[in-house]
Amino acid sequence: MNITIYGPEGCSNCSQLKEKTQAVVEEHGFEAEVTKDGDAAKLAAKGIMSTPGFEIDDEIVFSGSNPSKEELVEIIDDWA
Amino acid sequence: MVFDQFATAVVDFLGLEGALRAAVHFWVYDTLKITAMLLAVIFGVGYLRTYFPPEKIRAYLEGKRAITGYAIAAGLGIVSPFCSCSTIPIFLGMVGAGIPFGITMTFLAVSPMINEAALVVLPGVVGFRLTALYAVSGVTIGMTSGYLLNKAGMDRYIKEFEFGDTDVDIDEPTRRERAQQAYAESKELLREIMPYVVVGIGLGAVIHGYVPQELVTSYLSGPLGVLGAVAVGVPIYTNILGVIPVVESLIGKGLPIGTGLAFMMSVAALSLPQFMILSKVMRKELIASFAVTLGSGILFIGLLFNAVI
Repeated sequence: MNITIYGPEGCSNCSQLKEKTQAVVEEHGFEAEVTKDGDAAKLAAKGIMSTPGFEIDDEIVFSGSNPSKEELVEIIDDWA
Repeated sequence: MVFDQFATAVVDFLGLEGALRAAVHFWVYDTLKITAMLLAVIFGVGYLRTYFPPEKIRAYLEGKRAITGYAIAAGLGIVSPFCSCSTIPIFLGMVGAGIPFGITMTFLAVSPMINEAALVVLPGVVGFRLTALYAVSGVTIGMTSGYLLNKAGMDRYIKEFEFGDTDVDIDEPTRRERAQQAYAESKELLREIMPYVVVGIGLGAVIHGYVPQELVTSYLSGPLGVLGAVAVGVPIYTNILGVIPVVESLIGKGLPIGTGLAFMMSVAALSLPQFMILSKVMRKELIASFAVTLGSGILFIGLLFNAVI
C-alpha cells in the first residue's frame, strides 16, 4: 500500500507523523511505501483543511491529528 | 513574585555580577513566566478550539459579504492555529468553497499575526496598553488589506486549483474527547513553539544584559528604525511568541513602541517559507501585493504610534 502524509513545510507535526509512520511500518513489517507531500495545491485538491492529512491508497483516512504509534498500527492493520 | 525570587536565587547562587547577572536573571525569569502562562492558556484555548473546527469556520463565513464577513474572518483568524503552515490549508478550503476573496485574505493576514496565546502572554510582558494596540491594529491592517486587494481585483492571480470535497460529517465530540483533543494539541503546540520561545528569550536576555541603551536609542529610534524593523521582520519566520521577549528587552532599552509593534507584526504576519507555500496556489503578483499591502499597513501603524505615543 501507499501511505502519504500531506503537510506543508514548517509543520513540524506533519514531519513527525511521517517519521512515526515510517517507524511503525518498519517495526511491524507492513508492506507500505511512506511518503510526504507538502504541495499546498494538492492539500486543497484532497480537501484537507487541518494538517497533517493521512492517506492510504488514495483515500484520506484522517486529518488534523497526530495519533500514537499504537493507534497508527491499528489504522494500518485495519487497511491491510 | 515567586519566579522573580527564583531567578534572583539562581543568579545569587551562581555568584553572577553585572551584565551577566542581568542577562541570566532575565532568561530564567522570562522562561518560567512565559512557560507557565503558555501552559495555562494553550490548554484552555485548545479546549475552546474544539468548538471551531475549520469546516465550521468556513460554514460561518459562507454567504457573508459585507463588513461583518471581514470582521468575522479577523476574529476567526485570532482563534485559529498560529503557524502559517496550518493557516494556509484552511485559507485554501475557504477559497475552494467560494468565500469572497477579500474575506479569505483577511483571514490569511490576521491568523498568523494575532493569536490568543500571544494576547495572554503579551500583557504580562509589555503591558495591557501595548497588547490592545497590537490586537486592534493587527485586525485593522488585516481587514484593510483584504478589502484593498479585493478592490484591486487581485483575485485573478489565484492559480486554478482543484478543490476536493470536505463535507465530512463531524460528530459533536463529548466533553472528554474535547479535553483529550485539547491535551494532545497543547502537547504538540508546546513542542513546536518552545524552541522559538527559549531562543527568543535567550536573545532577549543577551540584549537585556549586553546591548548598550545608546545603541538602541541612537540607531533604532527614528522613522528609519520602523522601516528597518519591517524590512528585517518580513523575510524571517519565527513564532510570534519567540519575538515577544526580544521586543520586550529592546523596548526596555528605549526602542520606541511603534517600532517594536511593527517588528512583532512583520515577523509574525509574513515570512519567506510562507511565500514558498503560497506560490503553489498564487501567482507572484498576488503574493507580492499581499506582502506590500500588509507591509505598508504595518509600517504606517509603526510610524503612527511612534508619532502619537
